[in-house]
Amino acid sequence: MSEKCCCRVPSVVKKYLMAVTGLVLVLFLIVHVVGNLQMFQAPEKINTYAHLLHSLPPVALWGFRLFMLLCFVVHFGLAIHLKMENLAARGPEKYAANATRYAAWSARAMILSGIVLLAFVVFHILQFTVFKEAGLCGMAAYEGATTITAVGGEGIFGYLGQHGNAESTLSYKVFDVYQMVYNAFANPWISLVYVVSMICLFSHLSHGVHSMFQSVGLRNEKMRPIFRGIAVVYCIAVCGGLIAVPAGVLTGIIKPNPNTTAPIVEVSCPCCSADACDVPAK
Amino acid sequence: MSEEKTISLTLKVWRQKSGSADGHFETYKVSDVSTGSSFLEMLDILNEDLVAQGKEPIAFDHDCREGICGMCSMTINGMPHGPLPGVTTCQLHMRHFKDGETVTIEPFRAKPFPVIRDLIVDRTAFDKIIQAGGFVSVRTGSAIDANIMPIPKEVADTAMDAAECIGCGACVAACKNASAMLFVSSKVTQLNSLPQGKPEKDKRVLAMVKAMDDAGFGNCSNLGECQAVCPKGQTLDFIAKMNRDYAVASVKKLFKTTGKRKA
Repeated sequence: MSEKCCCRVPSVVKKYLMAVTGLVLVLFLIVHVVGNLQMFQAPEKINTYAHLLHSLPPVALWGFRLFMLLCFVVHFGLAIHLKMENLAARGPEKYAANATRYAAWSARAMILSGIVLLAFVVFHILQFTVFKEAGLCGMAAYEGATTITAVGGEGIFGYLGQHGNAESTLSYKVFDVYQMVYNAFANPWISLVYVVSMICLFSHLSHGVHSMFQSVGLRNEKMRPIFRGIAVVYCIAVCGGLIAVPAGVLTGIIKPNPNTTAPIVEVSCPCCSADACDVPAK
Repeated sequence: MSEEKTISLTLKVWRQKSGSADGHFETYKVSDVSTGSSFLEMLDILNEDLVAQGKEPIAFDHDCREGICGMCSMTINGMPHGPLPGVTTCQLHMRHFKDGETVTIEPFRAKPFPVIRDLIVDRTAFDKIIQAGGFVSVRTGSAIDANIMPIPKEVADTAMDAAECIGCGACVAACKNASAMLFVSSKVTQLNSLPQGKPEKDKRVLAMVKAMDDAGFGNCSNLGECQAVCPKGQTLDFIAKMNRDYAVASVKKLFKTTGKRKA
C-alpha cells in the first residue's frame, strides 16, 4: 500500500523473500519425495529412516521444524500481503472487459493453489505428525508394531548399512510408519485428497520454480528455456513421486507390512470405505 | 489492400466528468467506418458527430499519432492499446475489427493513474519515478565528441532496446497487479548499461524502485502480461536485470565504505 512509512519493505525485497522461502520449500520437497519413495522398498527401509529422523537430537529436529515453519509462514503471509497490495493497486474501478495475452492460468491462480496447499499441509501434518505424536486416531496401534535391524551400529551408520562392526547388530521395536501410510492410503478418499492436492502443487510449482530465478534476477532469453526445463522436470519428478505412493497402495503395488502387529486396512472401494480416523481394531 | 471497406461498430465507452465524479459506460453506434482509418480517427469521427448533436465529445489522450510519444492510453476490449501486438492505439487500424463487433473502451486502470476525464489518466507517477533517478548527471553545454567514450556494440544495443520504452503505461494497465516493473526496469537498464550512467547506477535503482513503491504500484509476479502488450517489445529480461542490480546495490549500501571511525 502506498502509505509512506520509513520501515516499509521495498517491493523488490519482498520478491526476493518469496523466492528464497520458496526455494527452501522446493529443496525440502526433493528430500521428502526421496524419503517417500522408500515405500516401494521393504517396510524396514522407511521405518528405519523414520526412526533415524525421530531419534535426531531435539535441537536439530525442532530447529529444522521451526525453520520450515518460519519459511512457510513468511511465504504464505507475504503472499497474502502482496495480493492485498496488488488488489489495491488496481484502483477503485476494475476493468469491465478482461483479457489475458500471455500469463498461464497456473501463474494467475498462485494464491488459489497456495490456499489449497496450506489447507493440505495442515491436514497432512495433523494426520501424520500431530496425531501420531499424540497417539490419536488409533495411531497407538503402530507403536512398536514392527522390528527393524540396524547393522553396524545405531543412528545414521545403521541406516546406511555400514558393515564396520557386525557385532553391533541391533534390533528395535519401532513405530510402523510403513503400515500407517499404507492404511491411510487404503482409504480411496484420503488418496483422492492427496492426489488433488498434488495436482495443485504441480500447478503452483509450474509457475513458482522458474519464477524464483526471475525474482532474484537470473533470467535472459538464453537461460529462460533452461530454467523452464528445470521447472518442468522438477514438477513432474516431485509431483509424480508424491502421487506414486497413494497410487501404489491403491493398485496393490505396495503391499501391507507382513511383520506388523498393527491392524491392516484393506484397500476399499470408495462407496463403502471407512472414515479416516477409523482404524478397525482386530 | 486498395479495396475500400467500411464497418459498423457498437462502442461501450467509459465516460467520467472528472476524477472525483462517478463514471459509467455509454453505448454509441458508429457506422461506415473506413477500415483504413486508425482507432483514434474512428473516435475523432464519433466526436464530430457528438459535437454536431450538441453532446460532450469523448476526451482521450493523443499527440504524435505515429506511435512514438506514448500519449495515447486506452484499454480496448481489456487490452491496453488493443488487440494487435507491438502497436500503440494510434497505430491500430480498424481493419483489425469485425463488422458489427462490440468494442469496450476503458481508461488505463491503476490507482497511481487516476482518471482525469473519460479516457484520460494522470501518469504523473511515471514522471516522479523518472525524477528519482531516470537521468545521468553530466556537464551540459557543447556536445562532446561522439566517439570519445568507447561503448561496446552489445552494450549500446541493450541500452537502445531499453530506451525504446515510450512510458505509455500499458505495462501497468495490463499487469494483473498494476505493477510498473517493466517501465522502471527499462529506464534502469537503459541508463545502468551505459558508461555515462554507471556512476549513479546503485543510487538510481534504489531511488527509482522507492519512487515506484511510494506511488502505490503493485508487485511484479512474473506473469509476463506487460511484455505481451508493450508496444515497444520490452521484455522481462529488463526486470530480471533490475532485480539483479537492486540486490547488488542493496548489499553495497549495507557495506558502504565510509572511511570514518565512529566517535
